[in-house]
Amino acid sequence: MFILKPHSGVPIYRQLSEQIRRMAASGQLQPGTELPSIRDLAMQHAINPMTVSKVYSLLEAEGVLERNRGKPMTIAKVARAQSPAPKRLQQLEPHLEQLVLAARQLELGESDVAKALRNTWEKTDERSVRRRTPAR
Amino acid sequence: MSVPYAVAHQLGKAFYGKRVLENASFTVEPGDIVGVLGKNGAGKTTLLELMLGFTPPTAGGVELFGHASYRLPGAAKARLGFVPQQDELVNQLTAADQIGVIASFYPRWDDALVTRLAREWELDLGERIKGMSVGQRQKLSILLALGHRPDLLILDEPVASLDPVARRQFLEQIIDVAADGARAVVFSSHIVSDVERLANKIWIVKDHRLYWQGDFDALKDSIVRLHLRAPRGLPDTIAIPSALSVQRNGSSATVVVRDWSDGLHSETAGKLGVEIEVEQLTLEDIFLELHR
Amino acid sequence: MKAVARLMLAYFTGTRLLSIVTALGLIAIVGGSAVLFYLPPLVAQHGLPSRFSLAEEAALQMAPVAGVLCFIFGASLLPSMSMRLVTSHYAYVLPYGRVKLLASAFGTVALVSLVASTTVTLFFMDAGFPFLLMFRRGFLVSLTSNTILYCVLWFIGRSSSIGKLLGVAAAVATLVVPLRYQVPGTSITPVWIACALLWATLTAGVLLAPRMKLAYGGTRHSLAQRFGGASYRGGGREVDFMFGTANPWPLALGQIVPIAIATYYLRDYHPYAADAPNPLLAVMTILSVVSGGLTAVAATRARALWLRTHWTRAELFGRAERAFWGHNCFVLGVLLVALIAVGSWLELPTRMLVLWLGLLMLGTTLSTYLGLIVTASLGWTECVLAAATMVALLMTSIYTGAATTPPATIVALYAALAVAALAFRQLAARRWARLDWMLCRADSTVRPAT
Repeated sequence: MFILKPHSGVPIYRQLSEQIRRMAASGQLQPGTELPSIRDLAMQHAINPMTVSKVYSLLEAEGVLERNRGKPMTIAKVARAQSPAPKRLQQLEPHLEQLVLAARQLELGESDVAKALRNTWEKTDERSVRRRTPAR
Repeated sequence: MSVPYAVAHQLGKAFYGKRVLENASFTVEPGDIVGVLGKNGAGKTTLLELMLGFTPPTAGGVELFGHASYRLPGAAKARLGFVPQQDELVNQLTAADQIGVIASFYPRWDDALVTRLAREWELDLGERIKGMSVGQRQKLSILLALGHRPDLLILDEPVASLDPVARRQFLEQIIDVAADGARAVVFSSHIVSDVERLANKIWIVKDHRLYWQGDFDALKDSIVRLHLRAPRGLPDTIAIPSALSVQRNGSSATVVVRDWSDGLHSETAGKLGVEIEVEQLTLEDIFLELHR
Repeated sequence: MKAVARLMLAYFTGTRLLSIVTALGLIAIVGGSAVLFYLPPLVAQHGLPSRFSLAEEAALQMAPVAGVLCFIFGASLLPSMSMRLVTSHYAYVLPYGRVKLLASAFGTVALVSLVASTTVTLFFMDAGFPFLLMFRRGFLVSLTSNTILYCVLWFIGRSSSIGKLLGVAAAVATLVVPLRYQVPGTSITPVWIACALLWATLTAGVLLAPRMKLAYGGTRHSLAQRFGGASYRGGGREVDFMFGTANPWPLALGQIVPIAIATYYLRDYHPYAADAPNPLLAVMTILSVVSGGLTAVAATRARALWLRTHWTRAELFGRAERAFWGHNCFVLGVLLVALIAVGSWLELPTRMLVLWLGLLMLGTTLSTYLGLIVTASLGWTECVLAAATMVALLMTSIYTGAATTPPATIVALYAALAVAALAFRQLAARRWARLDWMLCRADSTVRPAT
């Protein structure tokens, strides 16, 4: 279901929480979908179960996940109130940083990058978003 | 509020005047998986042996389940499991007999678990120990420490002789032990990738001291590699507090620092007049950088 | 308690061989004692007619004794296994580990002594001694001597050739010497004291081991530095160092100790039957064989040489033979000199001395080649050959010791032994030509991961 790389510099909890958030936001994971139990997920990826537990708690607090007594965690059914745009923009930060850095290394100017961004934005539509998100 | 399984305060040990370990303080809570890293001879095994009460500390103290570890009462020992670096099996016995002998010391022994694991790990319990390969002996040693379902499991280089398949099976078993949050595992290993997967707490033993003791995520956030770029030239001296190493390369430089936090980013960038990119390191890189 | 019981069970039945020995022992004890009780009285004790010949009676009487010995040795896993556990991390980690290990050791020795003393006491009952008195004595003596025996067995297990030599002698002594104290009349106080001291030391050692470990480790290390091994100073003796035959003196001179002890105890021994075996010769024969036995490591050590020289396996055999003969000659030489010295002091007849010299030389030859025959872990062939050789040597020593044996018989026996030695050599040479080092590992505790 998820792609986790324990040996990249990025902490596992961050990788996992981001993937769940994105997959929930994109509809890849429909509301009501059951997530694996902490033990199962940890065993599957050979990672610390506390990490999984931390991610689940974090996302439950954010409203992305729902805890059902006695049953596994599920994607929140209730269409949660849209968190304000600035907060959602924050999730793009790492990607923006990477983009800016690469652009600077290639010695491209801000306007060039903005133009390229607009082109790419127009080329991708809703459906291709679903297709491109990794299905695991 | 859970009671920690192990608590040490300013633990120290000296042998014939030589300081083997000094000023180590730590706790192990239920649910923790602690990875202990350190170069050979840095004091790792001494730390574990002090924890287990094999040897009395010469400074400070360590408690297991609320008792001084050197005088751990018999009933508390039933909650403790240990896998030594070199197996200490009785060569003449069969594996089943060895298990039977060790099992008889404990009030509770999970036969089903041991049988299942022996089957999954492809250990023939009817085989004589002296005819087993090193990897099989190590697997048997691990089994012997799991059977009584200890609350605190301590392992000293448990996978040094295991092939990758066996190692992954072992990791899964450790996860199984810690998953319910009521048991704890402390293990030392040179196979940093394993520690990276599993541990939520890291202890780094360096120069006979506990150089780092705490959350793994915090460690990753604290020891980072900064890539500095100054198109208009770097300053002559790059003064960043708690920098571990600096490498210059024309108009860019790489600095490894400890005690980093996000707040320092803009402050440092401004002070030096450079652009900073923060790279988080793998555990192995962190370890190597600390020992440069 | 179940740990103590489980440990004791492991001591008696941990290996297949020991289980069989224990079982045989029990059968012999129970069967032999039953036979003795329910059959008509034996001639030796009551002067009444019996339907058994003297020889048959002797055999019947020996059965329970042999059974007791089997039972004692059936628990010989006790020293190595309990010490292994006591000196390991398990002693710290297992709940009440040390106490239970100590209890299991004491329980085993007590059980063995109980069985031994009961059997022996039953023997003396017929002679009219009160049961309880004899039993109390017997149990105490048995307890002490068995404790010493197991300690000696542990020592033999861990030591080099010299240690094994002394250990074997000590083991034989612990089985024989206590008989003196069985008979009422001799004071039993020294035995009480010995027993109490022994167990006090053992208990202290096991329970206080953590504190003593540091001191012991240091002493042992410095002792080994000073007195162990030989140092290489170059100049053509590399092969000897690889085989471990560089320094024959510890073994050669070490033999003198058991010889001296045996001579002292047997100096007044005069066999009342003309053809009774001479124990002194038996001791020397055993010694001549032990030195040869250390040759058994030759094959495993030859591997390192094979990797580094141009010699084929067959050539290696020749080299090993030469190296070990060079070593064993010194050991044999000292033995022969000791024999002559002892013989002269005891004023043994010259004919006997000459014959004994020959026998000892044969003993060393046979055992050297027996050792070279061992090119894989010990199997049935090697054990049978070794047992047969020992029996043949001892029988020959009995015959040479007797004044009534015709010279022709002796010559024939010696010739047969010499032929056997040659046969062993051929067998060893053939095996070395096909030496397989996967079967013949130096580190016998570990097999390659296949």
